[in-house]
Amino acid sequence: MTDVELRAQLEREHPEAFGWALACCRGQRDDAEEVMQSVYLSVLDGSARFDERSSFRTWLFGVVRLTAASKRRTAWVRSLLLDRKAHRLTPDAPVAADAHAESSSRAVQLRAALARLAARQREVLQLVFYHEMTVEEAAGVMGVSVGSARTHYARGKARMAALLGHGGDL
Amino acid sequence: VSDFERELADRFAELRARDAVKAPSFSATAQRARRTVRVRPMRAVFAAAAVGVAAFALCFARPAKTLMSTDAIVAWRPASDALLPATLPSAFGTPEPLNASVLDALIYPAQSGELPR
Repeated sequence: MTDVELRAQLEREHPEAFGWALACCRGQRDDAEEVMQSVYLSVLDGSARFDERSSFRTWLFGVVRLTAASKRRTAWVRSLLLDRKAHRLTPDAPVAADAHAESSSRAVQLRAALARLAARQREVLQLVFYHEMTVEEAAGVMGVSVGSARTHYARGKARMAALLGHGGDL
Repeated sequence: VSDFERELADRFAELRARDAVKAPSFSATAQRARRTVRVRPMRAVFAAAAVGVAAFALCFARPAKTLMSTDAIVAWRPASDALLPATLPSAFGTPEPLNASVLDALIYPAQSGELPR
């Protein structure tokens, strides 16, 4: 893949990839932007290479996921070393309140419910419903087996139904 | 597809539309990333220069410091020196001549035919 093609692909996937970065950063826009910059940096300097073993989108989402996890770890270690209060990227940090008033209460409810799920369940639901991937593609992004992704998907859906007060069939 | 899955899909679509409004443009994000690429080598140059300066300082500043401390040790005299004016011979008597031994007193009588007591 030439540089021009790579750039065009990145540009095409950018809005979706940013949405995924937002999900990986628990709704923190600044952190998501930083993650996307780091992702583009590693793609541009060649430290992250697309080897065409999966679709471009699956690969890019995998890079975003790993970059966000790495940033989270770094922030956690830094907060431990400097003895500061937990950084907002730490795994147990609550979902940040949006500076702008939420236009949709359903979106707020959804974000809050997602925040209460286990990380794997949240990831698989986000990839399937938000990014319209199949469970198999989601498994590729998450780096788990398809069977494991299916289990997280079923459990996540059941938990979401309980959190959103949906008593009907799943 | 169940009713709940449809509802979830609708909610996620709303969330996606909301996020899309807030998303920064690709060109702005890529440009910031490219700026970081340019800054990185400069950082490496500064780090290398700092290491060089530190190494230089260690190599050239340390011997001078060691020399000064050696001088200070050589110049130092204990305060009790004044209490010991006596020289070594006067303190311990006349030293034995060279090649002499305390056993000489035993050996020489034996050579003259007398047994030592």
